Amino acid sequence: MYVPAAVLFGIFVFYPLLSGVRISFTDWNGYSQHFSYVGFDNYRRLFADANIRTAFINTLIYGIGSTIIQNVWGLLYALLLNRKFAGRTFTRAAVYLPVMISGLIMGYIWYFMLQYSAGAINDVMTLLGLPRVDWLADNHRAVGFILFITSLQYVGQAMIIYLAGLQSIPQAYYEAAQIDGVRVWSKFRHITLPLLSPAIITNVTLKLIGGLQLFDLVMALTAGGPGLSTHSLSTMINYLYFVSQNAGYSATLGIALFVFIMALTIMVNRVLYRKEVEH
Amino acid sequence: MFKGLRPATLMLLFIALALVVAACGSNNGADNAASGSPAVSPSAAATAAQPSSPSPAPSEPVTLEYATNASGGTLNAIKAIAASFNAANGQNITVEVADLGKDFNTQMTARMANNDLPDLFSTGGWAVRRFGEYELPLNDRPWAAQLKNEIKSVVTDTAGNIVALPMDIDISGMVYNNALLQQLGIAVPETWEQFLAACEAIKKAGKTPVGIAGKDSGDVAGLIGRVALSLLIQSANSEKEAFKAGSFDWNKYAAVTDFVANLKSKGYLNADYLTADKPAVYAEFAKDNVAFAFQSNQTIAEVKKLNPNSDMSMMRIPVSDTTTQPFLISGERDSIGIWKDTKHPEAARAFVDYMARSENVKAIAETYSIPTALNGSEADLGDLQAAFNKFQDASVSNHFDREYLPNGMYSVIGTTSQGFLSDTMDAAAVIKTMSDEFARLTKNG
Amino acid sequence: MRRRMRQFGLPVLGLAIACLHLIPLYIVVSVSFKRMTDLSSRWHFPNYFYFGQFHDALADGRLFKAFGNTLTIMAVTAVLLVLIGSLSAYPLARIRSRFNRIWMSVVLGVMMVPTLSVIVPLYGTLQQFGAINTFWGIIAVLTAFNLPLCIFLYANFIRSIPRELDEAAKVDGCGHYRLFYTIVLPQLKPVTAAVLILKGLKVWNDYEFPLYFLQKPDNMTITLAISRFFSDTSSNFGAASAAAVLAVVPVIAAFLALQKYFVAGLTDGAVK
Repeated sequence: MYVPAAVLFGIFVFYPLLSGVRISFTDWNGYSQHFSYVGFDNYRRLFADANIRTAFINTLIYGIGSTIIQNVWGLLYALLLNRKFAGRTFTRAAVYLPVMISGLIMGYIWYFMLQYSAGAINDVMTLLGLPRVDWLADNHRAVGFILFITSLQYVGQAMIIYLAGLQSIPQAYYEAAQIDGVRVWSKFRHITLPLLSPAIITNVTLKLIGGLQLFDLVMALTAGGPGLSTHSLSTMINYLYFVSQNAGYSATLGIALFVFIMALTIMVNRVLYRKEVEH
Repeated sequence: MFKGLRPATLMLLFIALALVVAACGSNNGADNAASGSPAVSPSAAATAAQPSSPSPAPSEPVTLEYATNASGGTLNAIKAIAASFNAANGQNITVEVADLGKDFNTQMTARMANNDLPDLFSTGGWAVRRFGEYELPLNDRPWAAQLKNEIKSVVTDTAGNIVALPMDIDISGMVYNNALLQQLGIAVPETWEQFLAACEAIKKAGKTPVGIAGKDSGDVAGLIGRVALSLLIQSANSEKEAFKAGSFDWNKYAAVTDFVANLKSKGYLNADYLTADKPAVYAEFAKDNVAFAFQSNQTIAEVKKLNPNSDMSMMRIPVSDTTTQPFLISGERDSIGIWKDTKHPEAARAFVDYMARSENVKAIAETYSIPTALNGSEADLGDLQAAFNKFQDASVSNHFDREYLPNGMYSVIGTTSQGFLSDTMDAAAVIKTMSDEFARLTKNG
Repeated sequence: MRRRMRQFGLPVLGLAIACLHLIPLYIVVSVSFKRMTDLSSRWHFPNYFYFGQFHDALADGRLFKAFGNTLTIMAVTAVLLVLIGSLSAYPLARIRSRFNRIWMSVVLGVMMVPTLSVIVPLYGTLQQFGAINTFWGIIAVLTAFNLPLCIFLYANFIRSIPRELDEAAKVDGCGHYRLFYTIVLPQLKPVTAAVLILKGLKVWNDYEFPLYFLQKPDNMTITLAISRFFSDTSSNFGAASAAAVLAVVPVIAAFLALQKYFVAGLTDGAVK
């Protein structure tokens, strides 16, 4: 029963990963048939490289930032949209809709919204009598936008999972609490949150792994620019390989990213599981 | 418990539909896989022994893949040529044009890495330096003798093999909006002093002096390449020899960064210089809002599409003193190469020969408004003919990065310059990166 | 007073939220119906009917082909994910052993491998199999990389199914595989629905794998086809928007039809 999955993983995931390790010890430029081994040079360079550091920080922002934002925001939406009111289903569908659009396309749409001369946002600025702004020109602002856009797009995903979680909490608990005169915040802390733990763990794990690998949106929106300042580690890997012609170094970064994601996810999971057990 | 059979039926319908489409799709898939996939090829040895006569039509149907990064008018011209070739050959040879657009570089790199190239591909300026190890020599082709001298050396490698068919020669300098300059009574500048004065006048008149597509690292590299050529090579203290010897003192590169910083601080650049792409700059030219751009003549053709009444022309690149002449850049633009391990070398050669016909070469060159690469075929350059005639004896240089820098520096120029423009890299960081990458790529290439 | 707030306040809030999230979609739809020469603000919905952009988008027939390709790839991958995912999850859910714990970590590890890190060696592997530009090549890769999540969802769900049924079937002399496919799988419908929707969506919108492995124009998927509208020298936002609208509509339709099962599947699979 393990065989099909094991075969697929072996051939398509682990074998290429090992190849990647091998490449990381070379100075291969990515397209020639010749290269030579350089030992740990690439790894040494990785830790001293300022551009990598920027990409790393960006990745943390995109990954951890979007995980926190989307989970809190998604939970708030779920709490709100769990109540009965007119138009609830419509709102739910509207919030989830962006999830169904590809990240690449969303990036293009927002690029055209943030353009200087014909962008939708600048039209609003003009309407309000404010000067036009070249939104993506400032790298800090651009990173902020990337974070905002990816969160806005995928918050629906978190919301749906939290909704499902909320709906599976038996009403009986709440009714009992009501009778005991427990206040709203306490209800939340002692009933809702603990029973939502599996949903929280799922959401956080998924989002963390996905967010740390952010690629499509960054490529479409800024392509890592201006300069190299908004790159995520994934887009940087792509850049190093195909644009900078430094495949060896790119592979090094690839391995480093994998190890980092693994370490961070395991750590976060441990913390969350401990909290779940406590409850 | 599960009431509706409906979702299950829906799924089944989906899958059935998919399988039907797959049946149609996989026929193509099978054919393409056969023609596209490589093998360790014994055919390489056989190819070398081929006679050099024009190739006869192959006996069984052959499909060739032709990957290109051409876009816009050029792509249409290529597709038209391929279509007429296919028609002329009946069922025997079919050339499929794969326009990879901006993914061209990425995909070609992946394919080269795995020694699995398309049968035919555009080499866009890098026939020798990048694709050299993968191309079939073409010295024996009938058109080889007709190559114009200035382009012949560009597509010939160190062993004397002609590795690609160039279709046009990219002669360019800078482009400018003639209508705007005339309106403001400004003469075409020949020195940087005159250029900066012109910029000041244009800015005072409320227009944009220089348009840069900062989002496009290629465009920024184009700017830097021209400035570098002017300040470092075509200048009184030329560093030509230093570059060739690999001993260039990169601290002198500060001249280039200073020039750019100056343009920026004096406000001569377009307001969205960091995030505009080329189409955005073309649009501003079409509205006569911009005067100069450090771009090739393709800009002129593209602006004409947006505004048929546009009056744009090309100028030579200015220099910093009067001891040297303003100059033009000349190099490879559109070329086509054959993969040396292709399964269908005869068919591929047949197509390349077809490409080399004068009417085809002319068609492609005209989409950029530049001259053809073969003698006996002249492109109709329209309004630019006068300009080309005027500059016939102008001093000419190859692209900065293609002539003086190792393969791969083009992207470094682009990103360091973008970093510099956006203040995320200072001049010292730019110099260090350029210097380090120069050393690494020289060793590698 | 409180009730009035709930009666009006919440719907208004809901509407505001919906509008916020629908803005990008509104802009795309609005641009897709405009003429190329119409340079009015992107907020203005055209006051005329113009289908030219859609015509251009479909013009060289590529979008149709891309639709077909994406549909095929998605359908086959989804089916494989369901079959292999549930099969692999079964022993994980039923048997507690050290081996299984390690296997679980391996599965989780696969999820953490960034696609970019392995893409070029993966190209080499596929090329050795002659799988570049073929459907089965990309289906295999998509299946491999999307399996872990499916395995987790299934394992979670199976744990909540009483073992008694398994025991009963075994007594009747059912072999393992038959047991699985006739007794267990039918009960997994909610999770299957969730898997089909979540992963179907992911495969439909995937960009990285088709970019490297499906280069022939005939084999492109939708997202790749749309990215071709943007090149160095021209940004045909109108046609690209039309294509994007066409790409999203079937997804939305499918989602609306299958909503119920999706939430049910997530409830039972992801949050228990």
